[in-house]
Amino acid sequence: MEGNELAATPATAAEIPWVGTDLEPLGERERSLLAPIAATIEYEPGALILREGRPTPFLGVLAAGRIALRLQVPARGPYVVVTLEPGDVFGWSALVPPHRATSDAVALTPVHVLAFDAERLRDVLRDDHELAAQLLPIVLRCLSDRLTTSWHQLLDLFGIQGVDPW
Amino acid sequence: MLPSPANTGVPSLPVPPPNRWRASTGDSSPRFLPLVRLDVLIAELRRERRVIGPVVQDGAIRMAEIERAAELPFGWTVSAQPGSVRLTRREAGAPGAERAFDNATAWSGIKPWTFPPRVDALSLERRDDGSVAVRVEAPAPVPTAVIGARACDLAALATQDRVLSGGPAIDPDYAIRRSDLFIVAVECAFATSVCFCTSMGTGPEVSAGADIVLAEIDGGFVARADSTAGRRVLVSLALAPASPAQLDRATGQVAATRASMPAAVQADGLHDRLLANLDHPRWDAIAERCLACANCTLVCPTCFCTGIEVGSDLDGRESKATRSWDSCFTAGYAQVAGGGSFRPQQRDRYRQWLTHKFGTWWDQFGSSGCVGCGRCIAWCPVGIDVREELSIIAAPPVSEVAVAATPTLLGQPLPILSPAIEPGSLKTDFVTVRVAEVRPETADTSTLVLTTDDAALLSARPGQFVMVALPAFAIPPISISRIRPDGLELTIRAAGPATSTLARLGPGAQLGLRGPLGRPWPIEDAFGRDVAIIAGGIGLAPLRGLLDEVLAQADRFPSIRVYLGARTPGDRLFVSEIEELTARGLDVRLTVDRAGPEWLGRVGIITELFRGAKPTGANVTAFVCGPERMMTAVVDRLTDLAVPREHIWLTLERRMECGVGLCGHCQLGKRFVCKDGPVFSVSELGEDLRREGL
Repeated sequence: MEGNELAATPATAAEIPWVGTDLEPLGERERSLLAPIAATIEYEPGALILREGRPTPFLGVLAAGRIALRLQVPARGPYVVVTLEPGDVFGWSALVPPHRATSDAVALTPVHVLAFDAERLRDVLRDDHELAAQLLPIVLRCLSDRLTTSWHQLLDLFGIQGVDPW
Repeated sequence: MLPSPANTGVPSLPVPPPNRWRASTGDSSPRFLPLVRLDVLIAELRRERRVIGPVVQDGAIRMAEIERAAELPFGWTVSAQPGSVRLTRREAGAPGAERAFDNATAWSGIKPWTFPPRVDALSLERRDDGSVAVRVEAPAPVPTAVIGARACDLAALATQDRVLSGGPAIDPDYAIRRSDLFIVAVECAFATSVCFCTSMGTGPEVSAGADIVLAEIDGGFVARADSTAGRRVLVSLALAPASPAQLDRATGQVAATRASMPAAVQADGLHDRLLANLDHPRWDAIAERCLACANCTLVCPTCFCTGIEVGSDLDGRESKATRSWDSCFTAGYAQVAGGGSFRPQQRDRYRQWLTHKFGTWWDQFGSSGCVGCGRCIAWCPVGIDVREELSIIAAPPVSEVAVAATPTLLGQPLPILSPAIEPGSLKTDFVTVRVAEVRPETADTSTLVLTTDDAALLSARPGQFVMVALPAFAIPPISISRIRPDGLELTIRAAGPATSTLARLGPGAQLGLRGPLGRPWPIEDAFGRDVAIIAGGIGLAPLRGLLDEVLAQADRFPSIRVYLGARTPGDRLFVSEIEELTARGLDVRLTVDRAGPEWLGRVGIITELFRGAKPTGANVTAFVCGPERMMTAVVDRLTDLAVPREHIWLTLERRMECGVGLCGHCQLGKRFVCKDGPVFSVSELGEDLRREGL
């Protein structure tokens, strides 16, 4: 993992603040299956949490702070596609082959992340289909939101599209 | 060849009106006007008026100013088919060879005299001292008599009366031209194959709207007076009463004309059937044929859409705005700021025309917009026949076919309004206001602080808009972004020539304002409820005045939240104001669509601001403004969050040229956005909100 991350501490199911996050719908049993592979990680502002093209180390839930998902555009510099707010799931590529990040993830503020180790998460999901059935729709929702956001950005709704009559 | 009633199962026609030829007795009884005395009638009319009547011109019969009866189209007959009109002269001695009016309605109709194709609308002047004057042009009244108007022409006049004089706004130009019109109508003794007045319940009998009614029979006319003015004219001619045989001929003739017209359109229920078929594949098929030439709208006697063009001298000191007929078939008709059009495809435009004429016209004006004159059929260069299209798109269900037509307005005489000039009922006057201050907001947007003491402008409510006139430029509608004790603020994005010039004005400049126009935000709907103000881009401008008012009455609302979206951080509006309100504790959430690395705020579309929210919005009233696509996305999110649709208010953008429901441009289904909106609730809009091309 890159950047200046501060600490990674294991968490128990009871310690994890599920409520108010995208993972809130998970059942008690499913939460307890995930807790052993969870860790909380802290980042300082500017830390590179995920790097585009590199293996995605974890599926994350932003617990506190703000993260920017950025694309590097040669000669134009970094371009922020979307920012994440507390409760948002990110790092969906941990579950989707080829398991490489599709953007940089950068801490804009001090950030706390609840991270589920990618490899172990894939193992758990392979073994427990009920957990998979509960978790995958949450991850798909996250992907769908990213897609919708990108489509709307593509429309450039607030831009001027043609010759104005007035 | 039209299908006959037998093989289409079209039900019986509306019942003919009572026989007016037999109704009057004594002094008011019908008279006989010998053909040789027609000139006397014309001369009598010409003593005080110009006289308009049918003449042969450019290979067709049109209305023109006439001086004597000999100019009328004696002996001519006409055949009309979809896409074709042919005049032929009857041979001497043949039936009708001695008749002037045995040739159906004049193709031009009366409209060019009551509602001319082009009129002066405004004169705009910028004087040496920088002051600006905007004057509304009014025509000099010209007393006019029309001879040879048909039942369909009168129905069309009544229809235009309702549109142009019947609403909250009265078209002053129309009112003046219409106010002193004397009409000598003629009952048709002949119908062409495109005529379908019987289907629309408007003819061929003349029921209302004429001063004198003529029935042309051999040797002259049976004449009756239908108004006091008409009676005065007939009395002055000292005519003998018509004989019973002549009355029989008049009555029988129009009855024969009625009988000659097949049932062409089933008008009963047409409104509902048409609007239930907005996605019918036939619209695409028509669009393949339609050339978008606008002929149908130009010959239609009820079409009333107009556009404003501003022409200027070279230095822009003096300019004139002319109002000309416009057509919903033109590409620019539904174009709005930013250059987009709400009806991008040909099918959208044809559908607009047909569904308005036969459908939503009822919602707006209480009648059909079609009088069955058939002009649009004859003058369509590719021969599109509205009767055929309606029978396919809005086919009556089989079960209805056997049932007799239920009584409707259609079979009855159309009510004629008496148009009157009511000064002040229409906000046509521009008020000159002064620019006190200009505040740049972004690279392309500025706020003009305008001072005025005009009571109407100062009574503006948040959500209303004004028309803004600057000599030499088109006149855009601009929403009011703040109402001050001494004036208004307008926040203007430089997108076209007029708005770019407005956004560059300096303090001291003058401009003309007309307004306030439109329906304001219903702030009272939010009393006792949680307020969400949701704005994207320049959409914050019309919401800023609402925010002012909500904050001024903050104790009426349990909570107030503001959600803002902008294209980039540099495109945010009213930045220092918003920061100040945030510092004072207002809950403002902001996101931008795109940003560079230096931006530490949120990036993402505006609906991202509601991510993770719980469906606890039942007590929320939301006020939303932004591009329509953004608003529909927001409405979806708010609906997910349980915000009731009747408490979600949007302000819609459409092209607005008049601002008072007279020019037609901003129509959305049964609404004129300028007059009925621009603020609507989502439940009011229903499915019209998302329907493409409406």
